[in-house]
Amino acid sequence: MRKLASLAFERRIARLLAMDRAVARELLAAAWRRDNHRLMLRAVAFVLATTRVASRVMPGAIRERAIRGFMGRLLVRPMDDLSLPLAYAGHARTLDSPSGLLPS
Amino acid sequence: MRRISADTVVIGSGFAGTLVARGLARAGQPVTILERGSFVPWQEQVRTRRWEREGPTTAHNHECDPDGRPWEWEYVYGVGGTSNAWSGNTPRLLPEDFELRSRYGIARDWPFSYEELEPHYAEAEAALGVAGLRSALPPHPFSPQDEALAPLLEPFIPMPQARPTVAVRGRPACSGAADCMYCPEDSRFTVLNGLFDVLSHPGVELLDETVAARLVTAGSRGRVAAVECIRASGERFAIDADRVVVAANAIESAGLLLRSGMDHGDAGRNLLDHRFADVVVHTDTPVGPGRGSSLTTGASYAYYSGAFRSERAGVLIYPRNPGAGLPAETMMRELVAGRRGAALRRAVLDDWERTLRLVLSPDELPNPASRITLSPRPDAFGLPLNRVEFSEPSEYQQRAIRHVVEDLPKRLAPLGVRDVSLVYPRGGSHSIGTLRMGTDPDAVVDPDGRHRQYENLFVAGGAVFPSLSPSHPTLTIAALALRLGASLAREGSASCVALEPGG
Repeated sequence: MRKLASLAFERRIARLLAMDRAVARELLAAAWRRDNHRLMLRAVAFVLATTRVASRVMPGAIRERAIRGFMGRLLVRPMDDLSLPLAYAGHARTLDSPSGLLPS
Repeated sequence: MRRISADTVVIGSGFAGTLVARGLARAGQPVTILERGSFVPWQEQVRTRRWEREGPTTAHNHECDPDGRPWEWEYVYGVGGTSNAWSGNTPRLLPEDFELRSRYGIARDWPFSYEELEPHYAEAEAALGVAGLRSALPPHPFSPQDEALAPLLEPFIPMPQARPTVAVRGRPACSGAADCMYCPEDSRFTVLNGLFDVLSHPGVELLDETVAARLVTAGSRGRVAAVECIRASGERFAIDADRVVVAANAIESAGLLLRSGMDHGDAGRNLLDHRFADVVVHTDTPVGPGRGSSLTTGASYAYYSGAFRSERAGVLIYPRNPGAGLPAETMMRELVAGRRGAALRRAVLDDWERTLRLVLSPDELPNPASRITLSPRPDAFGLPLNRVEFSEPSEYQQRAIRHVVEDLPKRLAPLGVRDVSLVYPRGGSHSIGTLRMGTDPDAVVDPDGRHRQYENLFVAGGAVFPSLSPSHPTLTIAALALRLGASLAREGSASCVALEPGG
C-alpha cells in the first residue's frame, strides 16, 4: 500500500513538474533520506495545495507555504551539482548518470 | 625496525611526485614512490563515486584550527593523488604573476621568471594532453555562453584544459559529460590514465598504503638519511635513501617536515587556497547554458592583469557551461501562480536560459598567520595531526570581488543584466605555499626545490609557490615537477652517495 502511494506521488510530481519520472524518483528518494519525519506532512500539504480546487478553497498564504515548504526540500542540491538543470532540460534521464552538455 | 634502501624516495604519487619520478625513470635512475592511499582504478571511482578506499592509512590527518573558521581542504589519498579529483583547468600563470613584488609592490617575486619556466610549461602541456591555443591539441571551441561573453570581457580566450579535444594516448576526446570529477570516459588527465607507464616502469617501485611518518636526519652537513614509514598493517620500517623528494600537497608536505623537526624559516607558513566566488547573472537575453564541448571552454582576463594589482587582486573569470542551478525560486513562484506541467517547465527553463554562471578566481596575498602547525591530538598512528589555521580573506581580495560584482553589470549591459548575485567564498582545493621557494633567509627551498638546510631533500608541488595567482596551479605544479625531475636526473643519485653516505 505504502509502495503504491509512493509510486502515485512520484507520478504526480513528475507530471506536475513535467520532468522525467526517473529524475522525480531520485529527487524524492534524496528528500526522504534528508528529512524523513517531517517530509510526509509537507508532502500531504503539497498534494492538497496543488489540486485544482485548492486555489479556490485554500487561503493563498497557506497554499504558498505548503508549496514552498515541500519544494524547498525537494530541490536541495549542492551548487556544484549541475545535473538537475541539465536533467530537467532533457539532457539526461537520471541525476546519477552523466548529464551531458549539448553540442554548441 | 626493518630497513630497506633506495636511491631516490618520492613521497606522494600525485601530479608532482609522478612527474618527478618520470624524469628519473627515463634517465634510468631507480625511484621508490610512497603513497598513503590505495590504488583505486578509474572504473571503481566512477562506479562508487569515491576516489579513496577506506583503510587505516586513508583517514585524513588534518584538522582545522578549532578557534578559526572551518575550511574545506580537499585532497585525495590514493595512487595518483588529487589528479583523480580535479576539473582539468590548466592555464599558465602570466609573466606578471612571477613578479608581483617588483611590478606591484605586493606579495613576493618568484626566484625565476616566466621565461625560465616556459619550456617546462610546454612540456607539461604535452604530458597532460592539454587542449589550448599553445598546445599540440586544438582548443575547445567557444560555447554559446563564451560567444556571448567574449566581446564584453576581453581578453577572452579558450580555457586551456587537460580535457582533450581529440584522443590522446588512449584517452578519448572529452564528450562534454560535465561530470569531470568522475569523468565517465576517462578523458580528463589523471596520473592513472596519463602516467601509468611511470608507475609501472621497471625502475619504479610503488609502495601504496604506506605513510611517510618522519624524515630522519644524519650528519652535521644537513642530510636526510632515511624515511620512517608505517604500512597499513601497522608495520614500521625505514628506507635509507640517497635523496628524498617530498611531493605531497601543501598541508601534508609541511606536516611531514614539521614533525621531522624541520621548522626553520617560513616552514608551514603562508598557506594559500583559491577562494572562488560564484556569480549568477540574470539577463534579458538567452545566453545558452547547457551547451558546449566541455565543462569550461572560455576564460576572461578582463580583471586579471594590470597596475590595479597593487590595490586589489587579479581575477580570472570563466563561465561554467552547464549554467546555473535549477531556478528553484521561479519554479515555486510559478507553481503558486497555478502553472503546471509543460507550461511550468517552459517558464523554468526560459529563466534558466537567461542565467549565466561565472566562476571568479582571485589571487590572494601570502599571510604567515595562515599556516600548518602540529596539533596536540594524534592520528591513528600516533603522529600529530596537521592543524590548519587559515585566515579570513584579505581586504585586497575582497576589494577585487566587490569591484568585479559592481563592474560586471556595466560590461554585460548589452545582455540586459537584471541582477547579479554572489556566493563567496568557496574553497578551491588548491593548497599552496607552506614551503615556499626563494633566496631570502626564510625561504624553505631554493629556486631548484632543494631544501636550504638539507642538501638531499627536495620539495615538489604547490607547497613551493611563493605566491598565489588567479590561474589554477596544476600546470605550474607539473612544470616545476618536470623541471625538478630533469635536474635530479642530471645530477644523478650516485653523486649524492659520493658526497656522504646516508644513515
